[in-house]
Amino acid sequence: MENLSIDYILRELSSMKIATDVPRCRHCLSKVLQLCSSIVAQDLSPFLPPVVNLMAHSDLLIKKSACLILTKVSECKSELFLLAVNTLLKDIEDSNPTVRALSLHTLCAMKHATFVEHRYSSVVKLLSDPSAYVRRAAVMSVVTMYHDEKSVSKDAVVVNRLYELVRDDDPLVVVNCLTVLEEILESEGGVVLSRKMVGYLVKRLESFTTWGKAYVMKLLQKYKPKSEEEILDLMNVLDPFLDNNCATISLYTLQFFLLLIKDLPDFKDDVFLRCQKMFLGVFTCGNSELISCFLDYLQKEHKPDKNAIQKLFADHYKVVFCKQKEPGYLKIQKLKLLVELIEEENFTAILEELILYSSDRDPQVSICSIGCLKRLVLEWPGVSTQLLKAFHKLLRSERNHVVSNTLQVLVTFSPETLKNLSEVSTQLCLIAQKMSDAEAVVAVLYLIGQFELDNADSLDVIEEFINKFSELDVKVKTQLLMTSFALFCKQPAMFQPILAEVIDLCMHDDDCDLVYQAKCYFSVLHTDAQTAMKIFC
Amino acid sequence: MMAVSKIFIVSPVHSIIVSQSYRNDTSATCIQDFVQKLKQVATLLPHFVSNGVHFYFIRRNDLYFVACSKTEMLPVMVIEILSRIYHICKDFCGVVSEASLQANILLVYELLQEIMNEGYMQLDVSSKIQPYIQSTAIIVHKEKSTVKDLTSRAFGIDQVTSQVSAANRPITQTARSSDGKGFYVDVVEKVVATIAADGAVSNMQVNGSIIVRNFLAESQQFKMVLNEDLVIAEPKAKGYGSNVQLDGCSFHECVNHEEFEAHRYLLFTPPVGEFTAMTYSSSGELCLTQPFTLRLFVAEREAGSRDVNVVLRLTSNYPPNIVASKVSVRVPVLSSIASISSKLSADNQASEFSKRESSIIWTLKNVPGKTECMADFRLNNQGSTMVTRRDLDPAILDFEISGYTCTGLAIRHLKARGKEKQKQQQQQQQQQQQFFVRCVTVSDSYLLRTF
Repeated sequence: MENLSIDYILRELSSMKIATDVPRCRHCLSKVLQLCSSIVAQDLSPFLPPVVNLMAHSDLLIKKSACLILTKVSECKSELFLLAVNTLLKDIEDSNPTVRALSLHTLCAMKHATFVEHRYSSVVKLLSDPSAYVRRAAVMSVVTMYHDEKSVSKDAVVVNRLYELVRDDDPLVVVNCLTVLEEILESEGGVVLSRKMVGYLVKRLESFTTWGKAYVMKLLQKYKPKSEEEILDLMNVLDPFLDNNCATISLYTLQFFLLLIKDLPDFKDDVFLRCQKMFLGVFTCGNSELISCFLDYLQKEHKPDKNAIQKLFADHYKVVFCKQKEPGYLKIQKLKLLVELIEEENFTAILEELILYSSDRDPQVSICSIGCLKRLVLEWPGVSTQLLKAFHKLLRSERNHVVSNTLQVLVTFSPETLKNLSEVSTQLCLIAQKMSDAEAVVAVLYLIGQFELDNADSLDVIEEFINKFSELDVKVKTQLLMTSFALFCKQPAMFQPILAEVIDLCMHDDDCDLVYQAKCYFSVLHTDAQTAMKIFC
Repeated sequence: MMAVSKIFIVSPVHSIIVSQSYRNDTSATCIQDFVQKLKQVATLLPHFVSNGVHFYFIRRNDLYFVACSKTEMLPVMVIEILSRIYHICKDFCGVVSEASLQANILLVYELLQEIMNEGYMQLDVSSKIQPYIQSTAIIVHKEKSTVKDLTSRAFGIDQVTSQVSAANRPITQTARSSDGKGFYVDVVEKVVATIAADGAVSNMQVNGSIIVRNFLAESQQFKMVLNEDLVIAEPKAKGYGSNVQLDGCSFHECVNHEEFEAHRYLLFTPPVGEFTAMTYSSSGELCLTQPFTLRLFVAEREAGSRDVNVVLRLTSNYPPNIVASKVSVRVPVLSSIASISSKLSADNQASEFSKRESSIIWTLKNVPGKTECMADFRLNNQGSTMVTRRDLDPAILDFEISGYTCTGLAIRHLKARGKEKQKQQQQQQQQQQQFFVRCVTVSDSYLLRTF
């Protein structure tokens, strides 16, 4: 690694020879750039003198880099800026369009007063430059200027010139003008879109760059056609953009269409159907971040159209299936979508998928997947053998988070549903001894109370908890009390001593609520045990 | 407002490689904010808000390409923009890695300045940006491990198998370092499959793409002929047969596919750089053959011992003249497994036991088609419970097979159409050498359920 110290580079850059040795000079400048990005709050002002000198260099790359470094140190103050301004002003007259655009860009990027005074005249001048490349840059410079002094937006010369340039030959100039006008006229509602203007833009849409299309499509969303005929015309022309390789364009077109057909709801399904190919295409592109943002967008923006979207995926649900290497957040999003898509036909396949990820290494994915399984149990009465298999496996899992989550899901089921799952219960006693987190223990104790278990095993478990009673969490103690009571109701003879012991322990606890509860149980049982058992069971 | 405020690239060790500010509406400290988040939050979503600044990022080759904005933009859009920037960097620098970006820092800044102005996208096609770029790329070769190099030299072996996967090998390097010309077509197929415990295919799909990398100086029209018996049909309408059956396909905008329906050929005038000419997908087991069949058996060792034997049997189903370069099988095991011992069927295999991840990894090099490989593992179990098949779920298979496509799709013919016929004939021989067509099938997610 080469020496990166500031002094060293500074010495190199200040030496006389550097101006003639182009490769060496480029190398030094790249070192400066590495410095200013790698170390934060690095003071680069010592570099100012050599950099300002190099701005006048004949090599374009050196000039570019020098200008870039200058904008990065724009905060400091120096007399050298006057020299820099002179160089820039000279370059604005240069015969090379790249140089003209570069110097204008740099001039506008500088906040210092010496630069600001020359800004306006230079921008206005270059807005009429013969080179499209320079015009593009000049149009964008208007935004920079606007952010420093808002009065520009009132300036008739600039605004009119921008409106003129909307009819420019160069597609990029057109798009830049529109975005700039939209931004600087924000307070007045942005660009005025007449019917004529919309017609013109739609006609040129095909010639714009990908992003140009996207910007313009977003802009068009402001336009409200007067007649139904006009709506249909627009939709006919813009229809191909619904299915574009670029998801952004498709989504903006979709948004526009949905606005257009606000009063024509019959078209909605057809519009979504036209997007189907694009929707599915996003899932096969392999760009995880894109899929994730896309799903996020569907969830957030198209909630009312949920059914229409589900229809699109119904036959192609396999596209949504997770992949092993995908990041956890994406798996979660996909699983959530999958559970929405479930139907009679694809039930088995989607269930398999959920089961697969319910024991994922990533705890978040596992929780999400188990949560989805829970929804299935509730929404699809008649628990299938596969679901049983799933819960079996989950409880057997050696990852504690999986078991814990499963238990917490099981707890939320109604007693009727639990009856169907009674096969699962055999493992509960084992789990109760293994689990350590309070939530899971509470859940498992509750479940032991619910299921018809082998009494000897349950007895063992309760006894074990009694032995370490003082170490337990209050929540666990409370649940222990309730479970003992439930077990007592089922098998009074067997569990009476245990219950007595638990109540006794609870009554001497520090927690008032627990003491109160224990007393309550005690008094109820003391008064009329038979009725109490009827009520509680 | 749809303007990006800043774009920066963060290295795997959380240092900033490049940062370009387009607008001053967000403070300079927001870059540090992002790095902080990256360190703290384990799973960062690609779009999130922190201190009123919206962040969007993509992760490529362990580098983070990040954009931030003051107002919320359509996240899909920013992600697509970042992906585009990544591809442009790849076109210009050859490889996108920390070292190559550092070496080409002037070039990267030049690119970032051309791609965006004031946070609005400007030029996004490599060939259009090219005229405004002054720097020449410095080619950074992937770092080779010196130890491996030494051993190969010590044993007098000159040929070393490339460390880089064929599917993502930086083609630009060779193109740029030689005469700067060349035309490469890659057919890449990614297989997603889930095989049920009984061997039935419960889900199988292939996502394929034809990627063109064009470094020819003059633009010519190309004609690419695909399989004549190619059929595009709904999954339900598919039948048995050896022909290529696809669910659907889409094309890049420069591709003229009018004749595709009738004659199965594409015409295109490729832009300079890399682009995906066609993407397609195919699903269902009728028209896709599994490249591998993996079977897993569990046998109890002997009475009184909790140890078990796990036998993996991998059969390759592709033609014998094709060799899969890298294959690996990963089987998750219980954490109570303390160690393993293994017996493998051939020398080109290796096995590894990772205690931390609780899994066995069986790697195979150069597996020819129509062969069978076996691995016998003895798991030393120290837990109280017995190990059963369901504890080994799911086994993950990873592979890479070059020269083979799962769907059978192939490029039958590729021809440049020069305007003058004579000139074309003269150049034909010369050009023929400059076209490279390759196909490769890689696994995207290939799971074997064990119960």
